[in-house]
Amino acid sequence: MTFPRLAGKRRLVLTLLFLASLGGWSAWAIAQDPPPHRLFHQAGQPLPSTLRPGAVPLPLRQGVQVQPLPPGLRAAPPPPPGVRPTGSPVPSSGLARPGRPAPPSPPTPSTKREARHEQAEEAESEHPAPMNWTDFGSTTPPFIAMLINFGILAAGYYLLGKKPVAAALQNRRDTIAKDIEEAHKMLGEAQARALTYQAKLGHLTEDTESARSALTHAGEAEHDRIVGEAEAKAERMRKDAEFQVDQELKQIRQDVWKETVEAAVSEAQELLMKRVTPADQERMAEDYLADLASAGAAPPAAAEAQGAAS
Amino acid sequence: MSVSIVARRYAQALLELGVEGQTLDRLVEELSTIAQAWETSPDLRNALENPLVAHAMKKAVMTELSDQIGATSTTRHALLLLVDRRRTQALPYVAQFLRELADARKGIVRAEVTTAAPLSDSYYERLQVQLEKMTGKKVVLERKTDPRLIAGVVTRIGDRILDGSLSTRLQSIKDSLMPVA
Repeated sequence: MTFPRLAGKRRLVLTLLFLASLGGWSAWAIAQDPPPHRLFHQAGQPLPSTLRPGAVPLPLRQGVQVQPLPPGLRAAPPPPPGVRPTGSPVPSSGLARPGRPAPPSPPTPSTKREARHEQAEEAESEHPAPMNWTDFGSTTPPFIAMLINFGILAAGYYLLGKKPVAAALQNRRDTIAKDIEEAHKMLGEAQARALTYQAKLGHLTEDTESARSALTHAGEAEHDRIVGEAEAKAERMRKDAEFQVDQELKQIRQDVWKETVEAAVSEAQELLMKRVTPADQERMAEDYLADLASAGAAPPAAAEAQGAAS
Repeated sequence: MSVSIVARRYAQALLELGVEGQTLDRLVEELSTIAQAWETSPDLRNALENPLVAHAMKKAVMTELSDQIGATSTTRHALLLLVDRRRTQALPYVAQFLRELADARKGIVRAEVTTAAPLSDSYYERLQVQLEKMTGKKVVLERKTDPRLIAGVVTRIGDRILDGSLSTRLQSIKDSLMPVA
């Protein structure tokens, strides 16, 4: 929840009201009692009447019923107002300064208040204080002033805080309504999803069967494809192997033939070198000469070779 | 530049000098002798081609070689020029081209006749006559022997080879029997 923020003007007015109330109560309090530092007195001076023996402490004066002491334990009653015991200084009225004895003077307002205090205390010790409605000079503030003060404060709060508080509450209401609406929406979606899932669960068996059937078909098709490819590959490999074998056989046949020819020619060459006689040499030379003569200007075709003679 | 091209230029220059001085035959013979010594002697080749051997030492070796064969001044100067130009490796080519140019100038064709075994002189004379009929030029035979021919004769005239040897016939038979790759 967001705390309502007051506008500047309203805040100022409310602060002024608060300060006015505080100032009024402070003025009244100052008018009733001396400042706290004036409660301290010099040694040897008589205590204020509130601290004298027999006087009721201030906290006990507010709503606490004081029980009188037994007669044997009760102190001597204080002298009547205006009568001062011999040899004792004049009681301080709160305006006395340390080190300066208070001069005998006619009764002042402070002494009057003191007297009223004492009277009130005496009366309190016997009966509860009557309601102070209008007396501004009494020890308690007038009740009518408190009522007026409270009324002014309440009216100020009502008039100044009505709109922001109402707006904040309205805003809060809207936010909660929006949250509720979103929650409803999410609930609807969740219910819809739940229905969808339930429907899917209902068709789960059929879907499983259809998926199984589709997978079976796909697997069979893949099987056929793989088998077909493997057969085709095997056929290609068989053809390649046959071709390779044929090539190898051909190459081996050529090698064997080549080695055979080379061996035969080498053997024939060795044989000829061993068996050629000078007569064979002359006969071949004569045949060469005859070939040159028969060819005329042209040399023997079989024996001619053009070459680079560098 | 190719060594053969350089050698052909040197041979052309020497031919002109030999014709002018009418010492062409002697020039050809002297250069042929020096070239043969060059081809057959590794020490001579090492002495003239090794860069560690001083240039003056190379010229001294070539001068001494020229003196030993009694070479003419043209041959001597040509050899020293080859040493100065660091062209001694072209010496065999110079001799060969000079011989070819000289033969061509005289109308002579040299035919290299290789046989498996020495034949009679009458056979070579008949072969020379037959080759002169074929070429229409005077043929000078250079006889060689190579037992690897087994039998028969091989004649080389310029770029043409007339092969009647038994080894070539065996090679032809072998080629015809060999399978085509």
